[in-house]
Amino acid sequence: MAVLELRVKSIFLPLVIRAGIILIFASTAVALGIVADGSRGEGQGVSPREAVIPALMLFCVAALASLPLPRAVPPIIPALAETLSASVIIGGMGTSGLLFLPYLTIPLFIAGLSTGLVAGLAAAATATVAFGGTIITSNENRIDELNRNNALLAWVFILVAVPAVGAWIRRLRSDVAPDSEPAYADAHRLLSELHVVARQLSLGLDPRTLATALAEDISAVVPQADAVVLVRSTGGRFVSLSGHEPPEAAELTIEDAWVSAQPVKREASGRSFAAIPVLMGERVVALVLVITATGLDAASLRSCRTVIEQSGPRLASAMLFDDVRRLATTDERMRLAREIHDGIAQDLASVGYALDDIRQNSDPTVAKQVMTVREQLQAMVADLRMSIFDLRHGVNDTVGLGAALSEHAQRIAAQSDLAIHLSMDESPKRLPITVEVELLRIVQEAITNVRRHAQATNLWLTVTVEPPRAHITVIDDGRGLKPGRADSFGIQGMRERARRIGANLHVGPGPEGGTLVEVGLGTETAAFEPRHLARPAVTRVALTDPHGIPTISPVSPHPHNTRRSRTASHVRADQEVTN
Amino acid sequence: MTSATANLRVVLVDDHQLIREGLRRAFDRAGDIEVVGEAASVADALNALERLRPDVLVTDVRLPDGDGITLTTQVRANNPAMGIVVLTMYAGDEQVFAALDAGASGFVGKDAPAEEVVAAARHAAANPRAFTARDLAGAMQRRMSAPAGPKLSPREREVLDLLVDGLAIAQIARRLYISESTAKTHVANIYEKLGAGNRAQAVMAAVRLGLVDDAKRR
Repeated sequence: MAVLELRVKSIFLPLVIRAGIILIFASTAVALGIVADGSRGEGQGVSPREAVIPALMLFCVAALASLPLPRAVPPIIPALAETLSASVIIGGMGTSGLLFLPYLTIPLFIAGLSTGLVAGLAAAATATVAFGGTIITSNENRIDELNRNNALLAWVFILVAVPAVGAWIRRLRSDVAPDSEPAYADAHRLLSELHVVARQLSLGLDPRTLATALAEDISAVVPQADAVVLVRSTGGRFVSLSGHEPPEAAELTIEDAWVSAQPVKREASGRSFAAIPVLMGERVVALVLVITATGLDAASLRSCRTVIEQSGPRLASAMLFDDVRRLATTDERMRLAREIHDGIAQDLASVGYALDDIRQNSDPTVAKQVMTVREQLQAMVADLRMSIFDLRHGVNDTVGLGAALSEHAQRIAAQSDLAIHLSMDESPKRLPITVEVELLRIVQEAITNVRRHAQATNLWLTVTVEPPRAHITVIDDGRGLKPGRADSFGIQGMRERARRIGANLHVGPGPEGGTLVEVGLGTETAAFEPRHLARPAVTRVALTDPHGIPTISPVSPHPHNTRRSRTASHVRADQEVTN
Repeated sequence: MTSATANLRVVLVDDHQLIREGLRRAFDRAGDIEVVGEAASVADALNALERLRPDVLVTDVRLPDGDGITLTTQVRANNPAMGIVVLTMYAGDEQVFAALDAGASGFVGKDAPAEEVVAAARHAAANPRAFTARDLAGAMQRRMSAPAGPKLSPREREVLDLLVDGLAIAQIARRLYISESTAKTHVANIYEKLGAGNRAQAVMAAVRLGLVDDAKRR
């Protein structure tokens, strides 16, 4: 026999219930018997011995029936077995059997409750036949005896009614969650889909695609309505997943619906808004804003909610999957960073220190040669430090795309001979973090390419973020793309990242030689306007302070010299901060 | 610009043996500096410092049983006069500021030549409480220009204004046409964002951050 995986279920409760019932009947029978003995002579009632033996037999049946069974056994089988054995025992008792007959209601009720009406009635029929058959074979006269006052008929009726009641309760219970099984099936399907997607490492379950489909479904149900699917990005701002942004006037409606996890309807500035949350369990994961001119009637709102209930779980899962992918990637990047940090980077640094030693102890000509090697090595270690930094850092809840990009650019400028001209126009709203991550990596890759291959003097990084749109260009004045670099590994990676977030990527020759990398999200990649090159570059970083006042900090003090002055970024150890 | 005439006593902490060897040779070359001890972990480092009481501690950030920043904080608490140089392969402004906040005297990247580590150690011995790092000015500038402070949503701003006016939750809910539980959630979110435990603290924090807007009286 295979290993029985017993159900984790207490044996005591069913046993105690059954035993209690048997005890009550047995003692009733005995009491009646004693009373009968005293009053009417024999032939009536039950002697204690007559009651105890069937009671003990029923105890055995009850004990067996209360044992937990492996999950694979259908519940009707133990119920039928219990019905059959109890019927035979009770039938064999004759008149006093009537007192034990109520015991049969237990397995019959279980049969009805666990498997439904048909099986329950089958069990009732089994009980009736077994009970009747046993009586007939044991003593034919007993039927008449039992049939006094139509007791037997009444009992047959009860035996049929009990499983019917059980089956009815079963129906009621499943009505409470009629769609639970389809939902599970759907979730399972989704999981298999996720699995396939994860194995292909592409994004088949793209939240944006699903959100757009959801918005279209709503518009199909309510033709005069315009629907926007929103998620809450880091920093508590709402970001549209489905194309266009919600109107300003709806902001409070959206937030109230999100916080209360209830649909909120409100009129504002001549339009009517209904914000319906998409729930996953108790948690609000997204929100659908339905915009109409006249307001949604109850029926339309109901159909919107139905659409959302159907597509919501899919969207929620896609977002969850996105998140899981991001976390897994972050994890793996951390591991890589540790590996580089503890391995090759330390080894190279120690080689550097060894070279320093050789340089100090050699004559000037050799020292000069060693110095060249030492400088190359220093550049390599600096490069590794940067790689480790980029692997370990990215955007997160507090650091947005703009901050991460400007820090990256400024560090590159400080540690290389590349002058980076940064022009940043970032809205206080943030893109979804998964999108920010990919954009950051694309730009980092583009800058790295320039640093390593382009032999450029200047790099112009222009960032415009206006959720849900973003537009970024990276332009250098280097030697331009070499044949074969267009589909090199780095650019391939950039293309994959862009595809993942639905952005366009354009890599080609720059306006004045060099290379142009352009990423457009929610826009066609616009033709580049060469105004950044015509004018002397001024680094402008538009940052927004908590009060919403944009501040502009010019950082380039030499308008005639595109080579940025290094005063700000290359300060040696002659500055001190006294703490 | 050290004016030390006596030998400087240095303890090196790094789990990479070749790095320790390279740095030891660099310090030996300097002539007036003596590496009196080496350690490959935080525990060994604390032991060595206890025994040797050096003038300068040079420590890596990533160590097998902890990190050099925490070590720096611990050492600084008991040794206000010890020079501490943080040496790291990690890049980025937050590392610099972490070293500064921990009470280090200097911060050097592992890409820099060994002489730079020696120079930082000399500086640390002379001015243990003055911090030096390459590109410190740039890091400072970046830190100053970074947006700071909690961001409240428009609805949270409205609720905060009413909180400051002293309205009860029920009144706020009525005023903004939202349910009481929604208003409660907004208030809880505001407290969380402002790091406040009650209304008074929230109002204080809002005033401090300039979030309370007198012009916004509706």
